[in-house]
Amino acid sequence: MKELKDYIEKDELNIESVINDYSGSLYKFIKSHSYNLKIEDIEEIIADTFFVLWKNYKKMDLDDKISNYLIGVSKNILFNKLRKNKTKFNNVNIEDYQNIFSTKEDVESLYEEQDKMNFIENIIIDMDSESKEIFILFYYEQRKIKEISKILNISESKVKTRLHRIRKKIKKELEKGGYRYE
Amino acid sequence: MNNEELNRKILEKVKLKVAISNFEKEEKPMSKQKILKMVATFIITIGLAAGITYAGSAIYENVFTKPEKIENYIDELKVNEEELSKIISEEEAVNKAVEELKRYKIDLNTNDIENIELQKDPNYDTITYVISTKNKDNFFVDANSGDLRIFYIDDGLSLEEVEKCTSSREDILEQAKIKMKEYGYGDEYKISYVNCNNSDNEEKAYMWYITFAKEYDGIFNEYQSVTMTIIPKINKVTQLSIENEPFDDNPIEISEEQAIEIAKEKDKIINTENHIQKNIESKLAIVRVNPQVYLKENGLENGTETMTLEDGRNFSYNTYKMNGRVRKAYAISIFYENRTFGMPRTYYVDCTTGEVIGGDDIFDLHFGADEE
Repeated sequence: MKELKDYIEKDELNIESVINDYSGSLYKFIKSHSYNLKIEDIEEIIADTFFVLWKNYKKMDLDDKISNYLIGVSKNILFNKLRKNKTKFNNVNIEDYQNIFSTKEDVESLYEEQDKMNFIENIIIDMDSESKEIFILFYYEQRKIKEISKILNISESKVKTRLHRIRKKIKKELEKGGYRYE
Repeated sequence: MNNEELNRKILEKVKLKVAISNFEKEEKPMSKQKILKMVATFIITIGLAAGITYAGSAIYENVFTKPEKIENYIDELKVNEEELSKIISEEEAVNKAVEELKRYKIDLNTNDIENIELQKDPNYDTITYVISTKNKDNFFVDANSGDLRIFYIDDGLSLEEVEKCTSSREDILEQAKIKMKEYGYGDEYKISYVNCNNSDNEEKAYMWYITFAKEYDGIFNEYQSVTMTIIPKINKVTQLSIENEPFDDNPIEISEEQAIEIAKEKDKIINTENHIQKNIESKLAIVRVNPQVYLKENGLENGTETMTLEDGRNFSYNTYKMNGRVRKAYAISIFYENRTFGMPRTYYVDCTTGEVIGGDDIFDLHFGADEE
């Protein structure tokens, strides 16, 4: 059984390897516990599970078993989802999930910011593909402006300008959506 | 849905979530900062004002000149009558392309040409013929010199097919070197940059970006370089660009310690955000003179403007000429405690004259009053 340390490279979590190793089994696990969830919902739960791991792995022990943690998180997310949709999922016994709270705190921190994150996610999804790519390269892959310009074959100033506009757009939309931005 | 497809979908979602989280982290401390007005405080040296610099035992002319502002960018995009009279004709450009492409084993059939247009770049004073074919291949020919600058070739593969084209880093670098030899480039071109479309998992990368640059005293000159995009397995070069800028190859008269001191002094003026200095790294590099430090020092914003076109799209451009000389300089990177992603500010200190001739990431990413 793989441990957290198996996925740490240069002090960073190789989330892509974790996803490759565990999304299939998480999918089966969630599907078997909530057969009437839509595929998109299951995918969202899986993505949130990995995101919670990424947010919290620095607090974990290197010897922690990755699969245990992921199952714990996904059960908690699933439990919250089912509770939220109680009437919709009345054929599922949500009590089955209530004893898995080892990762409860980690999951709760996800919900604190989830609305805002979803809001931003929708703004990004609506952007043109180049802007999306720049956003991911800069904020996920943490590439330098120079590298992004080479990868996308556009000038550095265009990358900078585009980033500037992306931020501006997110900020404006958030304000329109009622979020306060200092 | 198979596992691979699921992994891809999940990865895309997670990437976006992580990116947003990083964005939020960056935004919180940044948003509390008030953007300070940037004011020039003093002229650095009398030598600069006089246009000469004393370095060691020789007197050198200053390299840095006040950047030229492009007053009306949109007008400048048009090729005027005088420029037209100086450049080669469309027919000459096509002939040049046909001839030069033979070197790259590309047969440009003139019957396949669908469109030829002139593009002018007011920042670099370049005019380029862009030749497009029915297959959506593109060839860029310098309208002044007739030199081939860039080509893009369609790989003819579907995404599913191209995703299967993977190989090891060693193998692809070897293939790229073979290509360079085939194209007739000598051993003076060495690999200076390697990247791929999946750097976290190179085994799955199906596009590699490799730059071969000329080396001067162990320093790469990317202004005299060839950059290619190559697809492994089929070893097809789908994109290639050639840089061949004149280089001064200026002598080293300033020591590294002196250069660091010059950069630190400059940073006292430039660092109006009061980022706390952490550490400094320096190296010799070949760089192009640019207006970044000058603009920030003189409170001139970052030299970028955006306008909305008639069709509603935004168009961004640099408002200053960027066609500075290519020089050997110390690239002094100052790292701070609290700047976005620990991004340093890099100053280019000319290794002959000691002038600050430009820089990289001089402006914070939150620049401009319009963001407030």
